[in-house]
Amino acid sequence: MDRVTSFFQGNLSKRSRILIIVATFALLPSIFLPTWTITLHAPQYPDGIHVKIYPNTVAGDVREVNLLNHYIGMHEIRADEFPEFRFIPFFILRFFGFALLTAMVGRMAIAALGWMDFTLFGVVMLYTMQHWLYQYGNDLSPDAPLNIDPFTPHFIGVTHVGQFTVTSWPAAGAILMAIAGVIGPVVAVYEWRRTRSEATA
Amino acid sequence: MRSKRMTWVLTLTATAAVLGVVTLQSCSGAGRGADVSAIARARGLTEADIVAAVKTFQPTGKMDEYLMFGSGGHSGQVVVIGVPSMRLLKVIAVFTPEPWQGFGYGSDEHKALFENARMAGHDITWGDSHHPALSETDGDYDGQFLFINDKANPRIAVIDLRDFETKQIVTNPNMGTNHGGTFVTPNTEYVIEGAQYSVPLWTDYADVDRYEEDYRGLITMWKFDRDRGRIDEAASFSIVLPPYWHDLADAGKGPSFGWAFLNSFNTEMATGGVEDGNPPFEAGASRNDMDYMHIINWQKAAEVAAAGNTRMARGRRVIPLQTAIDEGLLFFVPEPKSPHGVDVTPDGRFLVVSGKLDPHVTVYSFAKIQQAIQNGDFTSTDPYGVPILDFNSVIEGQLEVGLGPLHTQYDNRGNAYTSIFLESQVTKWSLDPLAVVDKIDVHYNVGHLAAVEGDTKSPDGKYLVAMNKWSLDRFNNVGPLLPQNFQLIDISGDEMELIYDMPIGVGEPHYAQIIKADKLQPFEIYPEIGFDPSTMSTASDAVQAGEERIERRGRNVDVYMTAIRSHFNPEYIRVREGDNVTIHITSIEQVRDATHGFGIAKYNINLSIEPGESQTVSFVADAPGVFPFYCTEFCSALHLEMMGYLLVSPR
Repeated sequence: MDRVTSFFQGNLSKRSRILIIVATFALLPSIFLPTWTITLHAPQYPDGIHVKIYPNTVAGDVREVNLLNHYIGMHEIRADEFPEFRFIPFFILRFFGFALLTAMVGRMAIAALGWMDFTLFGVVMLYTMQHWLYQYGNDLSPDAPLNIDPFTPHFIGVTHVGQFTVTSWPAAGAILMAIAGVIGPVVAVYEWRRTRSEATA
Repeated sequence: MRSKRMTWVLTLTATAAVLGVVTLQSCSGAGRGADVSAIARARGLTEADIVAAVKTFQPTGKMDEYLMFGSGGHSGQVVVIGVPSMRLLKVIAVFTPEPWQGFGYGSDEHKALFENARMAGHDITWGDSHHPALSETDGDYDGQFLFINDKANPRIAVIDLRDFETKQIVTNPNMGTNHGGTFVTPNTEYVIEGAQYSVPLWTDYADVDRYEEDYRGLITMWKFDRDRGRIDEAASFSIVLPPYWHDLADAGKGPSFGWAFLNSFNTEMATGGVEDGNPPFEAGASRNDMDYMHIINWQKAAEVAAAGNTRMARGRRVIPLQTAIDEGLLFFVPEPKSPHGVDVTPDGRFLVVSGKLDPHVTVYSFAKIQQAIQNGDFTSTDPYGVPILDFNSVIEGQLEVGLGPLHTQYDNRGNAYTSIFLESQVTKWSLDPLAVVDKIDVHYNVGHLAAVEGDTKSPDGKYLVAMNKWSLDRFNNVGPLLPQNFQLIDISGDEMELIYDMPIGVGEPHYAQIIKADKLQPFEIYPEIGFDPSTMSTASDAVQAGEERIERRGRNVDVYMTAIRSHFNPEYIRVREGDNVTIHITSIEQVRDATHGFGIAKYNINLSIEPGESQTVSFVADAPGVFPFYCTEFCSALHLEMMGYLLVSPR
């Protein structure tokens, strides 16, 4: 128990602090980069229909997606209807600040707290995305020209809807955030081993 | 030792043989088990046919390297054809109403266009389109605009190549018909239109017995305003010519920049009258061995016009013939009779004239012409006082190319190609030395030629299209009116090779120009929602989503409508009999090819509303009843449901 307590009370090594700096560099651009991409392919759309989800908005061929969705009675996708878009960029900014602070102060406890906060945020966001996908795919208007069975697109991977193949993947922003996220455990393992070897020395 | 080596050689040979057989089999199996030579044998195709097919065939999704803009002849339209596949891509509506493009079927924008195109108090709903001209910058096609003349009703149309639509038609009331147009000056400063049959100029009526006194020829320099994409009628001017008949023209380039050349015939000023025992026009107008090539200093003429040295004829600025002579704007040089083309060489140093009734092409030197003009080296004047240069002192040479030479195009290796009408051939000949290089049969009665970028300062020398007047036995019989035949010729090698026949069944095309496709950058969709193609800007009455409404003011009903897959909004238009209805309709589509039509049953109305486009249609609801309107362009799975009702209640 002493070992765990002293681990969290300990100071971070220079290497770990550099790694956390790397995480801040990964986080900052992810505010401006697309987080997720959804691509629809069908024969009459040889170039595909591309939707890009950013931390603060949804962009790309949203108009055409909405046009197609009205045939099946799907609710119109409008950026201003997602409250998440209003605060996600500030959350990322907050994690960036937290990580920067951690790198400067160099305390393991702050690092752990920040990482848990960030990871929780990631999980909640993925859950929210899945919730919205369920919502849009299942809340279909009965007055639509075409009646199809409700469906839930996969938030990662391929879904078939009518003549469309819908492919959903994390984009640059999410990949950068994942890199930042993975740095947490890396730092933890490294620090655990370092402090153990110092203790035995 | 020796036997060992032998074994190696044998093994290698055997391996190579096996590999060879396997390779051959996999090759012949490439076309889904098809055997090319077996198919060719079954269809009776020669090796040359297969080569031609391989040179022209475009698999699905592959684009052509060049686009040909051809006149549509009597159709009054322009045909757009891919080269080398010779696939018809579009027929651009120009002088004739065309329902698919909604051209002249109700839209106010086109009503205004046709209103400006009226002549002699008539609605003119056809054109005899002859010679398209692509806009040029520094003597090369720039892919921005296309011009074309209507011979029957002397008019010029301007087509914007951003959307391949006709933007303007200007009329020329001082001409009877035209022919020497359209040709552009090297930076499209002016679009040249030469008259064909002379008519009275300063008086509206004069009998043919007053032909020499009152009839006049004319060349018009239409000023093109590139920024506006329109001809500036007020800044344009004409030069009066003697009452000869005039044929093709061309603009000088490079050293001959600033000059225009125009062929003439009937310099005899024959007035026909076969019914009175006179020689018919065909004989009277061909009596002399020589006609006059007109050499015109348009740059100086523009200065003369700008200085106000003009008279007004039927509301247009005209430089009188005597002024043109006094100011040194007009000179003649004899040319073999009944000439068709006067074609400036790519370097601008020479002019090639072919006289239909003379087996030679005549090559004139522009430098020698300039020398003779500067030296005042004239043999005489014509009856109107126009100075005539000495033929022999200004020609570079003559070359016998065949019977009935018509029109000449160029390649990038110093060769010229001349159509030979009477012998149904194309003659390839070199400019230096003057010599025939090759001849090829075409089918039949070839008129103009179009080589890829073949009348610019830098021809590409890859393909040539022979535009044949007769097709006779080339295609399936479709009755006594036969299509024309565009024949594609590969001119990249030493010998010309005929590689494709394309029937043209819309009218008799005359000239065409062929541009490298990558020079064109048309819109994929209109750049903004509510775009008005007639002004190339956002329409003041554009309707955005959510702004749909019907406004009534007494008998005037304005309908603000949007169209998107798969509905119009509103879907009911309720009016009273006799109401003036104006429908402002905007396509709020933003994807390529999602075009809607808007047709109203029994009202002779149809619009084409392309993605982003805004159109206005106004009409009097003079017939009471219920009239479905619907999307006339198959747009989506629920296209048939894209409709509405015009409800005209009886008054």
